[in-house]
Amino acid sequence: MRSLYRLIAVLMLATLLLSACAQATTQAPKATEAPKATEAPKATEAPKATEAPAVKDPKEYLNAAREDTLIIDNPYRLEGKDNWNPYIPNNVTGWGLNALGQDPLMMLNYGDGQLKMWSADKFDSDAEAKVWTLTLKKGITWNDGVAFTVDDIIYSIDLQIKNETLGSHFYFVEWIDKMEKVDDGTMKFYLKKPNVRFAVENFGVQIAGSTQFVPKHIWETVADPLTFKNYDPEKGLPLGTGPYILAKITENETIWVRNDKWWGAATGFRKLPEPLKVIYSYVGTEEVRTQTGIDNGFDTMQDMTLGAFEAMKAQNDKWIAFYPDKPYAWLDPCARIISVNSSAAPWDDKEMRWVLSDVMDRQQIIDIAYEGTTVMAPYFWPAYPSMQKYADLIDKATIDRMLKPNLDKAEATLKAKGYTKGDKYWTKDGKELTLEIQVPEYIELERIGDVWLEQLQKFGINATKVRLESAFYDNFNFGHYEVQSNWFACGSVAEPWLTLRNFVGKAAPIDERPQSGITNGFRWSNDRYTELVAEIGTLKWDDPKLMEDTKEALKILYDELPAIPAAQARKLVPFNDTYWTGWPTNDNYYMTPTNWWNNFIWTVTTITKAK
Amino acid sequence: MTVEETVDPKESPATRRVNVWDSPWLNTKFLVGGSIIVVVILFGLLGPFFWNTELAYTASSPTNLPPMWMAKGSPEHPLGTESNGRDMLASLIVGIPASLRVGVLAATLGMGIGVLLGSLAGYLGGWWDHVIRTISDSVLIIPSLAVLIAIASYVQFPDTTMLALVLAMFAWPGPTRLVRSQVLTLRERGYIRMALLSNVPPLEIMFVEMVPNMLPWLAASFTGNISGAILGATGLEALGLGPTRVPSLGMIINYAMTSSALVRGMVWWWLPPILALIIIFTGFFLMTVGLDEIANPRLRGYGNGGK
Repeated sequence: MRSLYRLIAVLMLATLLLSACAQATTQAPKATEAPKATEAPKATEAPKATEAPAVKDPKEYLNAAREDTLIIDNPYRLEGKDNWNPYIPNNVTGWGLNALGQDPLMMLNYGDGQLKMWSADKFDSDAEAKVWTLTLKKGITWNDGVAFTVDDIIYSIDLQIKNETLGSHFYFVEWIDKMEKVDDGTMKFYLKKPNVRFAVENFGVQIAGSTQFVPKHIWETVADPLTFKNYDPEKGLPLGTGPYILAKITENETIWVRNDKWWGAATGFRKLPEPLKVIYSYVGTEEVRTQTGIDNGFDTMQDMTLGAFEAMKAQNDKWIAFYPDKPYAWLDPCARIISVNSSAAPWDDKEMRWVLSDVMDRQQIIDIAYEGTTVMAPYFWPAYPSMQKYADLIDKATIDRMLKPNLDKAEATLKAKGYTKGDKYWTKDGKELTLEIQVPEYIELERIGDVWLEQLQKFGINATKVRLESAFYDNFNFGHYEVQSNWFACGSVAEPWLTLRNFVGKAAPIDERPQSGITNGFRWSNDRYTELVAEIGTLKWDDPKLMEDTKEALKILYDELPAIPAAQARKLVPFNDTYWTGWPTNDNYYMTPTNWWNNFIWTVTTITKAK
Repeated sequence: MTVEETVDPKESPATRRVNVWDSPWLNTKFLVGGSIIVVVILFGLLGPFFWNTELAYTASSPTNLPPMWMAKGSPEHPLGTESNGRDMLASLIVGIPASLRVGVLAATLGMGIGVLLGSLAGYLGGWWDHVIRTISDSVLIIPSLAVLIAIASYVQFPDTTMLALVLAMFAWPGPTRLVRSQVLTLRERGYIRMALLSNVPPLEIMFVEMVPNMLPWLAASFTGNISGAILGATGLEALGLGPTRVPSLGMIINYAMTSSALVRGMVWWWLPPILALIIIFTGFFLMTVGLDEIANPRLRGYGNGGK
């Protein structure tokens, strides 16, 4: 009888699902247009405040009405995690601290290529770009009322320099010779070698994040910063300088309330943000996220698939995206690549790595994995107009070779290497040619892996896919992979060095973490390349030698192929006009449209209540 | 009213036995359920002769095509395609046998272990019984799906065979208890006592004398276990913890869920695997009930002629 009930329940469920089903089909859209150029950034001031702030107890805002609340979708589980230490891995600062609880020094806007000042007043270098002087705005305070000074900055960076496992240790050790306090609001960075991009790269939210600072008056009392969670609501931790304070954490939500005493409003630098409460919320799969969006349960969402966005927009026309029409999506700065472990046979042979590239049908990856919402451009960097002059330095024949699969070439290479084609797979000495593709739990990269896997299978390489969580990053760092679908060449948006530097140095030994500038996780090594990129790093943007060196470095990189460009990434970031308006779009490109980057503070302090 | 009063006096047990249409194996539920499963198996076995199963793989077809009877549908993909470029008909032809295979393999392993341990526990008794009963009872109370999810989070399943092996870890305690209880009653029967007096070895008594007499019960348990294993496998696959290349019904559901098929109105993506599962579960359910009635005459209603 119980089985009968079970059967009835299943039938009822199926009936319910049927009746709930909505009819909507989708079509593959045309390729997207790249965002506007970002040339070497120029500094600009933020708009001034127009309103005097009200002062209230922030906790009162926990009861704010829906129309006073901003709800942001986070597609990754929080699971009650409470590690808010920004310098140790797997922290949860992306649940609001990075974007709303902290203030960056400045932010690069891809829309106009401008470096917009925030808590920094000025950040300039000497003619050689070896000494950088930072001047803070006056009146900046931590949310407990203590003044924010350059002492906090020096302490935060020094903490990372002294501890190998914290934050950007290797980078700061490579570049910073010493830091010097001039007064509470001014300091100097003395670099070991010239670096024209020092400020924008580390403090300008060029891509996603920038160096976060911690309050010296709290952290210097901490016994062990390596294990410190930076979370104690009773003591006001995590403590930031931003316009919002963490008020509550639930299983999959963080709730932030506005601090009406925020220094930005108090000093007249910027008006208080209008949302009284901000919720970061994980609700589940894209299906659930989409339905929540249809019901106005979100005001902005992270990346979603084209079909889901179109279905959501069809049922709630208040949803908009960067472009008003297909492909809707904004081109992400981190090109998607296949990282190859160049120390793992047979992929330690560059010709074998080229086999992997020759088999790849990039257009099919775009058509299937991205549903046609991105562009074909086999570069390690984004296909931004600002990068085109550097992309033009790549040999045209090489680029042409990547625009379509070259199965004949791949076959010829394998035959020359002693492989023979069996019924299904290529073999050598009786051993099948196999390849394990590691993907993170990230649907976009997984779908790239899925499509490429089938291309390899059809060609005769027995490829398999392994989906990993945090082990994905460890495997790259410690060399436990053959190939990974990832974005680890990410860096450049307006000049070539930041991407090229990912490949410099010696191959990091297996089981050892790569050290920035000394070893690399691709386990690839080319002395000439490293020498060239080291020089590029010290050149100014207008130095003719920059182009010359970049051309030679790119020739080596594309000849050796330690990683394989797969696709230009795109992000379809939806915004909802129901409760809030004034979102960043292509027609109103005041800030990069990324709600998970540190620059989202600019957007939150710009949007206004919908009438 | 007694049983004797309800039986037609003209139809003696002897005449019923002679009538070929009065076999307990002609149980309606068993036959209907069995027919459903045979049709499902034939769909998987014969499908590849009529349809290109290579279309079941990613990027083998255009994306998001509706079935041929809907606008923009194509006869080249009669049941439509999904967002990863898989043809739905090919996915079902590959996916249905894949899900059945997991169920049959896991249930076979579970049944094999269950028969062995249950026979040992029931026949030998004593410490054997205590130990086997304690372990099987302990495994029975473990929430298997939660454990399977935990295992699947750490173990990659390259194919459904590995998944079936893991599912079999929780498929043996039920048959073990069933067999043990049957052996406990059988060992008191006269023919077993006779075998003992004739010095027949214990293993022969267990597996030659007893097991054949338990076949209807074992068959009923087996079909029930297949359903359970398919349900377990589908659950894991739907959560994205199963193999991800070769389609199975659970994997199709997982891709439909992660790609918002429901909200996109792509009925042809999520409904067919659900319907297939409903048909399979209904088939096995009817077979299980039918086999139960075949094994246990008291479950047969005389009002329907004992069928």
